[in-house]
Amino acid sequence: MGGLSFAIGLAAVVASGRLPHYVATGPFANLHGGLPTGLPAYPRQLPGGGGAGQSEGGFEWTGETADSADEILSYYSRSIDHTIWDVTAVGTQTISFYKRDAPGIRGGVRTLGLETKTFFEIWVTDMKLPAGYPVDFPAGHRARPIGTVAKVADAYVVRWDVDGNASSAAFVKSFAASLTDAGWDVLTLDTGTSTPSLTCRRRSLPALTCSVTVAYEVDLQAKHDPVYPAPGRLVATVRIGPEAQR
Amino acid sequence: MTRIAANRALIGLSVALAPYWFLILSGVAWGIWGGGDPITIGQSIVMVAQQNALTLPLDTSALAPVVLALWIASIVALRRREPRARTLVVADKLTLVVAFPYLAVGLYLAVVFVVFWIRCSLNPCSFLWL
Repeated sequence: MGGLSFAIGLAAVVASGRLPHYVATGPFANLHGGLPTGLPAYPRQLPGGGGAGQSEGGFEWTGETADSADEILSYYSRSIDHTIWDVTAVGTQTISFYKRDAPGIRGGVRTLGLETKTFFEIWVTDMKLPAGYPVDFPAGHRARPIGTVAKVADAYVVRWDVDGNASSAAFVKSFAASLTDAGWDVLTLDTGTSTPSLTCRRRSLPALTCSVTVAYEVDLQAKHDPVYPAPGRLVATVRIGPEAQR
Repeated sequence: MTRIAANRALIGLSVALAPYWFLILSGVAWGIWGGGDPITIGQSIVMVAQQNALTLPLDTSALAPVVLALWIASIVALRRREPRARTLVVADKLTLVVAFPYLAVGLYLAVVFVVFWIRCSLNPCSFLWL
């Protein structure tokens, strides 16, 4: 009897199509293909609205809960496996962390609080960063590295594909929030032009500064999509170093 | 066929239990996906149970009519009061108890759907508020 009900239940689960089918790739994926190792699922999620996605070297999981942003961030800052991930900042809207054995792999939790619920996103991306790159400088929302990190004078120059964001201004605004949470003071924030930008300064070491500028780059080599023929992408250019904000 | 009829009560109880296996197995699958450690699996089972309890008859829509039919068959068999093996009587009683929450939720969903359908038939619904 128990075997029969188990078999029927199993058949119902398989037939429902509700089983997880997102399989993460990249060095941070766990053995089971779900959330990266050491990152727990948020226990009090609301049904519906959640989801997961992956791209080359990136993984994100979104959900919603009736809990506040503070509760979500507090849960993750406590529950992350600290032997695998080092939490560099816990702010009011985001937390940031990096993988201890591969600091180029960055991650974070973003929250967006509404009146009755809070949306949150757990993300991890292999940003392909070199040794020496500041571990407390967060990666941007849905930013994917382009090429290799250059070092000009004493400053790191990074280029990110941020096409996954709603707009260039939206990216800069959300990155400003991440920076503030991560211990960087945003000195200037310009989201009213076609090339939104910001500058920042590390709170604990004011000599270290940054500048971020987002521009649409036309790429004539890009494969043309007949439905959405955008010949380019949004690219953020990030400079970090002494005097980088100039 | 005769064997199925003879074991109808036990089959009914098995089918009545199946939706609850659905919750547990879904939770186990997501727990394995989310890390595979016992704590994550346990949390996933609780999470799936909380999230899917009110939609369980929809998630297992193929099972719902079978559970309902076997539940009714259990009531009929118990009302007849014919001499039967004690195991079968107990199985029928358990079927009534186990399937009741599932069928009650199904009835609730059906009522919600009917009310929604009647209201939207009388006044075209706007879905902008959803």
